[in-house]
Amino acid sequence: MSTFAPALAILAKDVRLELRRVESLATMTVFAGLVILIFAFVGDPTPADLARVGPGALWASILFAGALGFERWFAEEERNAALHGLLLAPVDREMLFLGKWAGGTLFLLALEALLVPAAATLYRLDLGGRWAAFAALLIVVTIGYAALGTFFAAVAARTTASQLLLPVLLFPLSVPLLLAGIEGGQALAAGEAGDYRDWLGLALAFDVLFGTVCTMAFGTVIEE
Amino acid sequence: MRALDDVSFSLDRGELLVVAGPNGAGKTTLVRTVARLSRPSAGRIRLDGAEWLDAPADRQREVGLLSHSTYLYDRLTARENLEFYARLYRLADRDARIRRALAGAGALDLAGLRAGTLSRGQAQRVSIARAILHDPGLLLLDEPHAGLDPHSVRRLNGVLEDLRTDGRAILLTTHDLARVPESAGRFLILVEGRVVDAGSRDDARNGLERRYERAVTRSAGEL
Repeated sequence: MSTFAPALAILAKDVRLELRRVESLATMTVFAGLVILIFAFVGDPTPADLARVGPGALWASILFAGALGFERWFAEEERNAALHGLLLAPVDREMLFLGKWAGGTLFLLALEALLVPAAATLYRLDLGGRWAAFAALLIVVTIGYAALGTFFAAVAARTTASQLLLPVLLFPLSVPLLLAGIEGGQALAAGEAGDYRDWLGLALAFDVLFGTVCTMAFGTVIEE
Repeated sequence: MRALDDVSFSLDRGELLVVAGPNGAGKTTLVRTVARLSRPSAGRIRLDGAEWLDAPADRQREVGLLSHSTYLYDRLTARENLEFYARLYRLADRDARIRRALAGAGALDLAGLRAGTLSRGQAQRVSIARAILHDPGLLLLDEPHAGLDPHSVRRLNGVLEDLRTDGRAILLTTHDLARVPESAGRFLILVEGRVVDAGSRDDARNGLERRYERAVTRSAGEL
């Protein structure tokens, strides 16, 4: 049986739960859509302005909606103390984190699959056919953001003010990833392949850093 | 303040040990420590002769825990919950094990119902199935009778008796000795983290309940 079987079991369980609780992803999508829409009407922008702020609006919407989602997804483990059920299992804590992290990444990517076409239309984003490169950037940034979000959702869940605490912990550390997403997207739109690769590389480096630290520290955070 | 202080006991297979105490006595801490959900600042636990607290994660399958929380996901059915745990424990022959666990807990009829729709007693039966799914040798039960009506208490005690005669070592905590299964072999009375009295099944029939009440009253008076 695969080493990653427990992580895959958690991922499959989270997907099943999410499919039965569509309100979570639906709420995030509506919220993120509103953020994108509001940005599009700030300061009576010209088409050129829209194209310039588009990537930023897209990432801001993902950032805010993601924070909503992480809190909800981890709250499922707190209900009926299900987290203790996970901790009782003969599974290394790292595997538990990998399962939750994979779920967070998958759900964010599902959200982005809805948001990107909307943002591209509204902001008239023209990547000149470089959508595959944009998708790669999106995936890399999302993986890092999901690592942070999953980790800090676990931290915040142990407190009485988890909804308040999560953004306070999550957003400052997400800045490098957010910058990589925005700047990398703009470099792609401007056809600056070198700059795009630099930002993608930065996002990858933060994925490795955040992924490693969060995976190693997860056990300490969830144990009492 | 120490949650548990100088608590020492042994438990054999096929034995049911009851740890009784009022709220705040340290019963849940004791169970969580043995289950390795909490780490003690000092002391040691041996399981089957080997050090337990630092044993590899894989040995966790030797312990099953039933708490007042169900550890179930409300939006999954009882069977789906058990399927998830079976995958988490990397159990082979999952379908047969799930069926056996549900049957052992008297919960076969609940398999298709979502956990969030179950009554307290029904959820407790499914929780027992979850706790014995991986066939643990040691079963920890933290106030398993809490919130159950008399019928459900009798039913649960019947299931526990089956599990005990099946060779499992069972540690059960309670604040209500009247609900304890008849087959309980030994009793410890825990007050403020310390064992203040102990007795056997015969003692239980001859005044252990009164001693328990006295110990709890004495403790309350000292507070």
